[in-house]
Amino acid sequence: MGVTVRIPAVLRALVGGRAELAVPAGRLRDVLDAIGRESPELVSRVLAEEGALRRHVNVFVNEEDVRFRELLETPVRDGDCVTIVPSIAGGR
Amino acid sequence: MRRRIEFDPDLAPAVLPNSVLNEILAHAREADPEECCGLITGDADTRHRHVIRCRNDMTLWHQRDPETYPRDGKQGFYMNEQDYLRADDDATARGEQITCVYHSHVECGAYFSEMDQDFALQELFPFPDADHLVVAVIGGSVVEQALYRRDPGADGFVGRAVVPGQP
Repeated sequence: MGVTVRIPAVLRALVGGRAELAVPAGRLRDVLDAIGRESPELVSRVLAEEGALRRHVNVFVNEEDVRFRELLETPVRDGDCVTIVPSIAGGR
Repeated sequence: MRRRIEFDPDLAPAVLPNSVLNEILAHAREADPEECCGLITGDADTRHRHVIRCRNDMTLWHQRDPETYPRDGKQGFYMNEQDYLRADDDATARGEQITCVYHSHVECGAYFSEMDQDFALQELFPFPDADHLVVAVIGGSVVEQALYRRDPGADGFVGRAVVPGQP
């Protein structure tokens, strides 16, 4: 069955215009590795050089922010949905 | 290290349609004492046409994880992702695009802060060509508003005051 990765319109230019990607299940780290083999431009903007999630990018597994789960070690099972969303924030 | 950018009062002001500016100022007053945030959509003919209010989730994030999110909604905004993704989809369906990101500052000026720039300049910022409108609310009233736009010549953003114009 695999995992569905939803790509919001604002990021589709980095994945050849596709709205969804299909990758095998695993840990989130494995999912990002699989995405990176097809779309390295996207993953290089999601992960910092040291391999951690960049501060301004949120990754959700089934609506749950992985920062409140196990970050890159979050399990992603068959049928799960992963969404990558840049954040918009600021303040005084 | 970035420093806050103040708008330049000597530059010609940016003109926004009355209806657009009034809606944003009303949003800022209603959100007080928290910051508001939202988007403006437009097209090649009218850059600033529609206002879409978005939820400021900063207080929610702060309550959930105060270490990672030390500010609450009185000191910052965190635009609800579903709100902005839906606004972008709707704009695209209308043949428009996101042309401006707006938010308010409470009890301080309409400068473009270090934090504002930090997010606006991130590699994945979803609307890199958008303007940034900042509204200052002090004592419950809007006291000034300024528009910031990327200026490669200035290696950053240049800000100017905003005045209402024809709808």
